[in-house]
Amino acid sequence: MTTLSRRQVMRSGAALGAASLLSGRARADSPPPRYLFVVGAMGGASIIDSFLPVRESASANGATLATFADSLIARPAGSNLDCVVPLATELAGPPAFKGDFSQATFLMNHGADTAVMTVESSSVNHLIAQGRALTGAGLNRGRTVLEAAALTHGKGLPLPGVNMLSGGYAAGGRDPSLPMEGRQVVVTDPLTFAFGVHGQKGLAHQVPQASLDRARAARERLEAVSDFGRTFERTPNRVEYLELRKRGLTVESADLISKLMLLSGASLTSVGLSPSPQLQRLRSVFPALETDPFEAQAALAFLLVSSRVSAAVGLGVSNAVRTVTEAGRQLVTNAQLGFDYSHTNHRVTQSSMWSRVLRVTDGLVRLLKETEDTSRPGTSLWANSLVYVATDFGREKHRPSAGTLAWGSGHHLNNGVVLVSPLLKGNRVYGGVDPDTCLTYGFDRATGAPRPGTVMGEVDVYHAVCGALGVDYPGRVPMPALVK
Amino acid sequence: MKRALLLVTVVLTACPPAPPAEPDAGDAGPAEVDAGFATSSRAALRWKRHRTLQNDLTRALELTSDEVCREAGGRPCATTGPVMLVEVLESAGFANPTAVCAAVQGRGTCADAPLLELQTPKGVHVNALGGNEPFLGETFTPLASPLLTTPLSTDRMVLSACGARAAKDAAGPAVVFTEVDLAATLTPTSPGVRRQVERLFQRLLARDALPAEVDAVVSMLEGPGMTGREFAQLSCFALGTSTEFLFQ
Amino acid sequence: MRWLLLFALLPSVALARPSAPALLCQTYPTAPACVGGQPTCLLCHSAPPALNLYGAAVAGQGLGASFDTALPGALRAVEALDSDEDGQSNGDELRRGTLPGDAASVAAPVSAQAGANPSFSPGQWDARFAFTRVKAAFCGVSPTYEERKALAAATDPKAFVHQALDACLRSTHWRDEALPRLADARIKPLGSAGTCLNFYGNFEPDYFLFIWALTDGRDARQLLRAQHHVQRNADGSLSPIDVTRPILPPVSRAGVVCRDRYGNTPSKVGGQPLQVNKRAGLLTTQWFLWRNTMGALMPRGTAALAASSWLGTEYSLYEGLHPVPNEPRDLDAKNVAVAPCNQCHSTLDPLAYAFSSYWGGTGSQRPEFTGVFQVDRHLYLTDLSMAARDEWSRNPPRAHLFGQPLPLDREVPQSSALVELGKRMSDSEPFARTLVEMVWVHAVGAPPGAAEQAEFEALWKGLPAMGFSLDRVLHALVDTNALGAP
Repeated sequence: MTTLSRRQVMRSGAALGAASLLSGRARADSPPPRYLFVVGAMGGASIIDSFLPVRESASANGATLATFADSLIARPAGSNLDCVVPLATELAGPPAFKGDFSQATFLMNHGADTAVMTVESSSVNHLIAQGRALTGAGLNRGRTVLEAAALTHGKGLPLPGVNMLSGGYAAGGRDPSLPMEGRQVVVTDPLTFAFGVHGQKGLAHQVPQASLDRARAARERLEAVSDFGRTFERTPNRVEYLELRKRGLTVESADLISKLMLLSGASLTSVGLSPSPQLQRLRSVFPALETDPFEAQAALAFLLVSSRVSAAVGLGVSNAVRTVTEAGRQLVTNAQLGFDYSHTNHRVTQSSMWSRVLRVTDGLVRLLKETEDTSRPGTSLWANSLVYVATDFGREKHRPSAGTLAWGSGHHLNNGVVLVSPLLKGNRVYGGVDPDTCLTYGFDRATGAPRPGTVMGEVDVYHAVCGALGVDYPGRVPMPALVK
Repeated sequence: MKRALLLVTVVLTACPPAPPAEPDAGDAGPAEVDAGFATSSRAALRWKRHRTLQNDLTRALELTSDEVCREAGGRPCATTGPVMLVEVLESAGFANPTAVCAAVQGRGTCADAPLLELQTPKGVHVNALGGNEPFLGETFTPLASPLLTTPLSTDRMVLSACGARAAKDAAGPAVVFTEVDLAATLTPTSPGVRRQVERLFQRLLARDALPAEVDAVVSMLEGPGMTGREFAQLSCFALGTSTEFLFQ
Repeated sequence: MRWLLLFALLPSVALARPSAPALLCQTYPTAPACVGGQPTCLLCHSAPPALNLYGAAVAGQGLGASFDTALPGALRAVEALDSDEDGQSNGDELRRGTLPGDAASVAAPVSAQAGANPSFSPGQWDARFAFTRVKAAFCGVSPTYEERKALAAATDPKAFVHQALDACLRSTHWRDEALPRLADARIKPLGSAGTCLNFYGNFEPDYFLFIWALTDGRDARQLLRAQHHVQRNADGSLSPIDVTRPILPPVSRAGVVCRDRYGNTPSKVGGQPLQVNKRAGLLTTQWFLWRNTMGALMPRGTAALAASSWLGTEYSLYEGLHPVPNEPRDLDAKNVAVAPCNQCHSTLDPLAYAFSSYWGGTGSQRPEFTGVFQVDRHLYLTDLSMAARDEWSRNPPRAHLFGQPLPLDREVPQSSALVELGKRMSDSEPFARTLVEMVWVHAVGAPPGAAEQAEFEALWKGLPAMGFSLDRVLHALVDTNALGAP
């Protein structure tokens, strides 16, 4: 795998620009591979607590809405996006939360590619809202953006779509006719996933590969002559399993167990396995990947795309509380129920969880920027990637008592999402927020002009993501304001 | 509810039957349906998921559940048990859950302390093999159908179990692989080979083998020499990963 | 091209009609979608109110203001068409239970060949095939060679299979592993929240009640009716707990002291508050209410999960809608009264009212109140405006199930709207159908297919005659070709 120098990265941007000038015919002949990363912000990540905050001074109702003092809102140089500074003084427990990654750092690193798009969800039920965040509430035969992207860009890849998310984000779409290539492989443990992509490597009782091949061939002959095989020769789910078995051999032959292995240590080497050659590099970006599933997911997501295994990957924070001990203090790194711990303490939860989501996303994007896309030499993986920070819905906008900094918030349909990609016209908010209500409003899909009084829907996010990735389907609505 | 009703793909009707299998062909496809042989019109068979797979291997090969399959570091491939206290702490991100547990609980060890009496699937391949881990993994429904990686996880599980049995039998006394010399290099006509396959059919598929089925399994001995132990493991593997073993 | 033409010719938005499912079922009373349930709106809509190809064909017949009287004729008029071009006419699809507006939804029988077969009896009940499935599904292990020999030697193979089933239904596999997995999606446990290390509510008693109600021939309606808790005894058996005694929060179990990660004893919660006449089985456990209601005045998520768990209807997918006039009232100002939200919320909100008097999460101040019934709970929720609280008190919202009113809490002081809901739910055809489908999928391996509808219907319709005993259902299931015919 080639790591790009800064100069090369700059050149790859130019190359991308040139590529975009190619004629439609040339592009149709060899559609460029593009990569989708869905980062699930489980529980309701509120956009007005990240890149669309409202200044208390700008609001007629600032004291009773979820606004921020001016001193808590920052705008990095060159950025058109605001952000909230880490709320260190408010994070004293119990329990104490960790949240030291600055939103401003994310914007400084990736602000040019970051677009905020307002949206109003259609459900405040977690599982339903999570599903709709990925399906656009019923577009494209009910396929998720992950499935649609895997189908379009995963052709020929061993595992076109991989989903490590949980809850409604893990459920997959609702299209029973989805071709096998579009179906997601569900991963519950990124650290050990690599074991499952080879039929025997690393087992205690291995046999020579040639012998295993002979046994598999004998199995085929057995299936052909057995009464069971003959009786159920056309039974659909048996036929499908035989097809999966055949495709599995292709996966095995790619030796992904060596490329995707995130474990290390003597127990691994003692059975003839070795960590991914990228593991040290990954640890430098995700130092807690051995103990933090979200970091491990991000590491695996990078390996899946950079190793030409997958084109669409889902990862995200979970419901489970996680802690870390630092300087003798135990700090919560993942709030119980993710962003939904906002029911108990809105501001601390949003600050801490946004910090977590953006820190890991920052690491993933940095890796993609530094790494060459082997399918297009000289171009970074990032040049053709899109990160969609998906969330369930927003949170209630009001504070129960004026000026309080500690309150619990319920669910609210009104919100916005963060999209990060060089395929988008970034460094911009699409839509806006009314400072007097903290409610977001929509925009013109063609021009991007704000349109107070309107709202965007989950369908618009679906159109935007798929538009940027070149994923087509009946009824697709172009989003030229947003998509390059 | 009804959405799941009767959603049967029609791909089959578009697939012409594969040509007849050549005995020597390594990649023979499904046989053409013989004229006069009654076939099924079932839309689906029952997929044997992780728990029954584990139980069947354990019993057929007379192994303990711990012996069936473990990955590097002793991680179970797919098993079931109570939720242990130390597992809960580990899932919460504690780098040293045993020490934390011992300190909080005032115990020497927490390895023997269940937090929930409820049984839960555990292991590296549980998900791919059709199980769901609800308590710590928060997966509340299992896969409706196998994943792309399911056949590979199945191969690992079965190959591991068969290898464990072959290793034990090679060390003696033999319990399952009793009909062949596990140390010898075998050919299709070596003593006991066909009888061993017949015994495996009884253990794994609970029936007697047809001669043609024995031929098919024994055919793996054609070619470069294969030891008795290897043949034991791989003949067991061929049966244990057949669709007859995995679908009911 | 066809898509383009249709979208060009038809209005992109048409009104979804709440009366349409019932009218369709009057026209096709034996359609699988109408038996024991109500068709999903997705029969005619891609995403209401937008029509799918079938819905567009029906609408193309000209419905207009006389929708209710014109619809049956319009349905008949397009019966012979194949709107989604999947090779099967609209009428055939409705009768088979597939969606006439979705080409991916099609019943294509697998072609079979007649002849001899020494090992299987395709299309006929086959004792060996059934025996294998029974052992795997309910004992968790396949038959041995010797067991199959014994079956072959049995004078009454079917009785042999039923004996095997009886043994399996007493096995630890069925009770401790298989049944809990069928409960997972209904209980939705969280190891990080609902154990004795971190009590927000303990989910173990929910599992125990689920298993108890579905074993030993008990009346499965106890799932939604039991007014007691169930505990696991030292010998592993389950038994109801004295109705006057709540489950106390454990201080230790199996040698584990119930302390959280900070060493604190989280003992305030984890008992099951027991107001006997307010209990409705799994609808009122502390865990269910904490997990789903949390701090909401309107427990919509709680009601939606109850409906999907026990009635098999996903309102979010426009299934099983029975709109109630003048609903949703939107008392909590969530904007659910506007289209298209009102299409589902006119059914969901009236169901949610039944749960609104039960406390969900109550925060750190009064954790022991989780799950407690309090008829004026709405007065304590500060998120609700004063005007809304007054309106709620003056004109309490009335819960509905299947479009029919339930009593107000104040009208049944020895019960509650939710207790009455549990009774009606568990007596309903959708409950029977959902319960049977749950075990059908477990045992057969797939939902009922087109050829299996008659057997499926006979099973769930027979549930009352079988005393709502799951064991008896399973014995009847074993006799079906769906389970026993290769």
